[in-house]
Amino acid sequence: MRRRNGWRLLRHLGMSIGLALATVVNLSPLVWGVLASVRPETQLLTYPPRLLDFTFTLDNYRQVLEGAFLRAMANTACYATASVLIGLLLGTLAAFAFCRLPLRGGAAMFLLVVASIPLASGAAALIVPNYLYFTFLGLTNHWFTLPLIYISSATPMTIWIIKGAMEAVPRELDEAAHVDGASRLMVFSRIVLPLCLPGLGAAGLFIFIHAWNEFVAGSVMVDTESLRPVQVMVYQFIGFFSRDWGALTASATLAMAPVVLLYGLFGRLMISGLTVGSVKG
Amino acid sequence: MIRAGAAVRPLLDRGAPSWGPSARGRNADGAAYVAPAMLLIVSCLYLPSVYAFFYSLFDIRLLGTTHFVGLANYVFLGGDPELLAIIGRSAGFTACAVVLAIATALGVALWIHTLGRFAAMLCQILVVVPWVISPIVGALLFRWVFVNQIGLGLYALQRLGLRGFDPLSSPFSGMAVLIAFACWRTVGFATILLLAGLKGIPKDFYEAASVDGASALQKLWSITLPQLRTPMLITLVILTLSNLNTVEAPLVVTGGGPNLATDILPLDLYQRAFAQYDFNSAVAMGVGMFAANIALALIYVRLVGRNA
Amino acid sequence: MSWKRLMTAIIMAVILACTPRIGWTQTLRMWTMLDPNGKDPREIALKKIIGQFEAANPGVTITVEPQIWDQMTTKFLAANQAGTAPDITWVNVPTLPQVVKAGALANLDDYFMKNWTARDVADLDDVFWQFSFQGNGHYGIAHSRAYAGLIYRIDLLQQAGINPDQLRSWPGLIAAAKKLTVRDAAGNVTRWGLGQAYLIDKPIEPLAFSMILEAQKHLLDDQCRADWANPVGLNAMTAQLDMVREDKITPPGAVSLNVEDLYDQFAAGRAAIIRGTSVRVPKMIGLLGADKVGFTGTPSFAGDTFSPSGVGGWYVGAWSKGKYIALAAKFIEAMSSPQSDRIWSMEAGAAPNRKSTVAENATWFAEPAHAYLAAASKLISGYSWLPPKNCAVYGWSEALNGAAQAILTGGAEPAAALRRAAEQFDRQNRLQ
Repeated sequence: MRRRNGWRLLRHLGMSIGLALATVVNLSPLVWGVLASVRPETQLLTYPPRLLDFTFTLDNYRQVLEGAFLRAMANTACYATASVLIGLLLGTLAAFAFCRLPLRGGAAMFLLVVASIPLASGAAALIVPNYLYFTFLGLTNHWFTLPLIYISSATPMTIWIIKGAMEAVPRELDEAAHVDGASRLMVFSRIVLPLCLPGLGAAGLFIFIHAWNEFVAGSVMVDTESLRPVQVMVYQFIGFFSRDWGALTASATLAMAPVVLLYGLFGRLMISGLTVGSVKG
Repeated sequence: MIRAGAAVRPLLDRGAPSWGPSARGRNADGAAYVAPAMLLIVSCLYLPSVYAFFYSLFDIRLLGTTHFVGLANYVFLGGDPELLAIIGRSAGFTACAVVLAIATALGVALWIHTLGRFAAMLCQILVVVPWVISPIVGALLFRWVFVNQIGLGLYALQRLGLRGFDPLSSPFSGMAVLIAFACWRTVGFATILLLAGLKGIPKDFYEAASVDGASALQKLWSITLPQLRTPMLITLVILTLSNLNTVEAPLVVTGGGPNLATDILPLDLYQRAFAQYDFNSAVAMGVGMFAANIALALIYVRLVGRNA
Repeated sequence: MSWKRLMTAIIMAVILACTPRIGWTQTLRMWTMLDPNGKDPREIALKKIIGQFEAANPGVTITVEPQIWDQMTTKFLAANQAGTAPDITWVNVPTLPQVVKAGALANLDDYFMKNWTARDVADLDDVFWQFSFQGNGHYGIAHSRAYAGLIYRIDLLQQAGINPDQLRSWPGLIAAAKKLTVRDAAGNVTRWGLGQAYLIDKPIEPLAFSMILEAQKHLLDDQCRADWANPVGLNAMTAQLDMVREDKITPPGAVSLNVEDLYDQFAAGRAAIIRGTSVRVPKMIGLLGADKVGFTGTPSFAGDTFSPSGVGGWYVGAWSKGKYIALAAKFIEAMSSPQSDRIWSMEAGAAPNRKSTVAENATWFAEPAHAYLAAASKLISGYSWLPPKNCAVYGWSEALNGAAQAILTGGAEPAAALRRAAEQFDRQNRLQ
């Protein structure tokens, strides 16, 4: 008995050390980024590298915030929120239909949906013909351009995730509600939807992160600065004339903060969200 | 199409509800629910890709559809002596990165699963942060810390006695660095997805197995992994597509080197479009990659259909 | 009832907001990587020049839409097809022939250039001016010019007792770099004498490039094909790579460095001399101080002169399908005028475009802190190379760097590597 406890202790110790090391390695680029953002650049490009030996300054943040960065953050917040709301709306309706309603050609349509997932993530590859297509339709350089693109590229995955969540909701509930006289829409909004709230949380977070980190469409599909999203503003610091490490890391840290915050607040939803229905397969 | 439909049908619920208006009304209603999303998907995802294919059948050296050349762009691309090597490298990189990331993520998820609520929350955030940082900046910082001569990583190694070590000195180590970056970036997200799946496995399964005297490894093999099939699949799809199409990883972290060792498809496409201004082969390659991506996604769905 | 009124009011407001304002002003759009609201000296200069133009031309507004610089030219070509291109745009110098072939730029000879005297032209006449002549006219004026030379640490050279003039010959440079390469007690290098970068993304012209140009005066043949797979190229590549293998003044890790790493290393004191462009010198000065950063040209085998090197920059041109081409051309002329050139070079730290700017402000340019600008201007005038006109080709630096990587890392036979690079270059530029 004592020997087993000893082994267990050793194993736990080993695992803890290993995990601590893994965490350090995993987070070191980000920690370095934050540390780089709070010092003057002259103290950044040194050899040997200085970890904590520097003078703290917020000048980089000041430089970043003096420009159009805040507006870009606001833009992206709007784009991302709109994408989440509309994306969830369209996604849940479609998932409900695939899941519960008889649909002529439903199987083929769902196949189309799943097959379009790569079309969204590989968007950068065909950015030139995409740009020509959207410009021809007059859809570029408007306030709705980026939300439109983000919603359409996130919808397939959203439908897939939510459909999985909805399938876990027992059909008996639907039928019981119908017996009580509920319309299909009421079954959708009052019965099924509340029960897949975690799934919605997961899909919503997914859409938000996708919209927040998107770069290629944000730089090509809009021209005017007032419509630019935040990632493009971060990239501006990798300029033709210089790479401003201080401003770059400061802007990247600022750009990262809302997402981490959101994840901290709603992450729990995501966990339980992907649970329900994931199991059934 | 029929066979594919058969594969997908298990995903759809069998049998129409016994309630509701007439059959024709039912179908119409379902169509209304699905219409907005399908309209968006078709008009904003499929049609541009169809246009892109049409576009690739022209001589677009100047980005205008000057004259029709049929499949000449694809023939030119196919004649590139480097193409097979690039495809091979892409496949190898993606396979290694995905397998490594999922294996690591599974381990991390199993560990987080045993933690208390606060610790689990903290670990989840810590683990997913590399995924949420802006991709290009993440790559720059990764390169700085682990690859750069004036970075912390090499400096730490030097202090530990390992001098003269250059992570990008050989093709093998270059690819290792690229795979390491891809794992770094994707393990967090994979962990979250797998953790979600883990939390959905009913505890009674494990209790029953304990009663039968199963060891931890047997429980893992017979209960956990089968139950994780669908989250695994979602993770597999997302990670494969992400790694197959990542530009910032080879561009920023390894620069395609040394000696083309990490020159994979998306980087090659980027170079064709933005460095060589060779739009003919760039668009042909883009369309080809899209087709490959879609084929992969459909294969995955087929797997689900068969295993459900 | 009130709901309907509210909706009508909202719809009217939206329509009003979205309707383009009809006014008496003519608004020109310009794409550039500079943001006039930014704090960089060049951005402040741009704002000043725009302000002066708008004051001199009441009713005209120039709206700048900053773009990401490495996508800008491609995006302009696409926008040209889509009909949404801006009135004024900056295009990357080597892309000019392709952009002109696409019919995207207006011929400036039809506008202000026909009013220029021979003296006006002579002031701007250089490799950029000649390259901008595509067939039947000049299509742009080059700004933000960059010259690929050597950036060196003045203080480190002084400490080692090296005269910068020694850097004019290859043996002199190698000897200097050897002196500047510092090793610690264990024999590991803490500072490299000569930093080079052989990666393929956004490369700078390698040293072999200049050696080839010095020996045979051209890099491409008259069909724009690569012409370095010959004994001249072999000598050059061998000499360049011997700096890594034999002289040990450049790290073997150069195969995995890009130019950005070089600038970081230079700033961190890990390299005493680097192959860098003049356009990054202001940033180095900002980090290290004007007394520490010097700029000079590429050495030569002849020893007393510089060998030709690569140049870069941005041609500012007018969209051929714009509504206000004459006005756009007028602005381009204004931003290239002698007054503007003074602002660009003396206030913003860009290399002067005009010979007159340097001549008329000789004392200012002679100051040590501004020496790099005068050097860049002189080097661009006398020791630079661009492809023969109408050669819409790209990737010579990438090809040579690829060959260097193949030889150093892949163990390829040098002549074969150069031949392979030439074939690849010809193939991707459709010259085979």
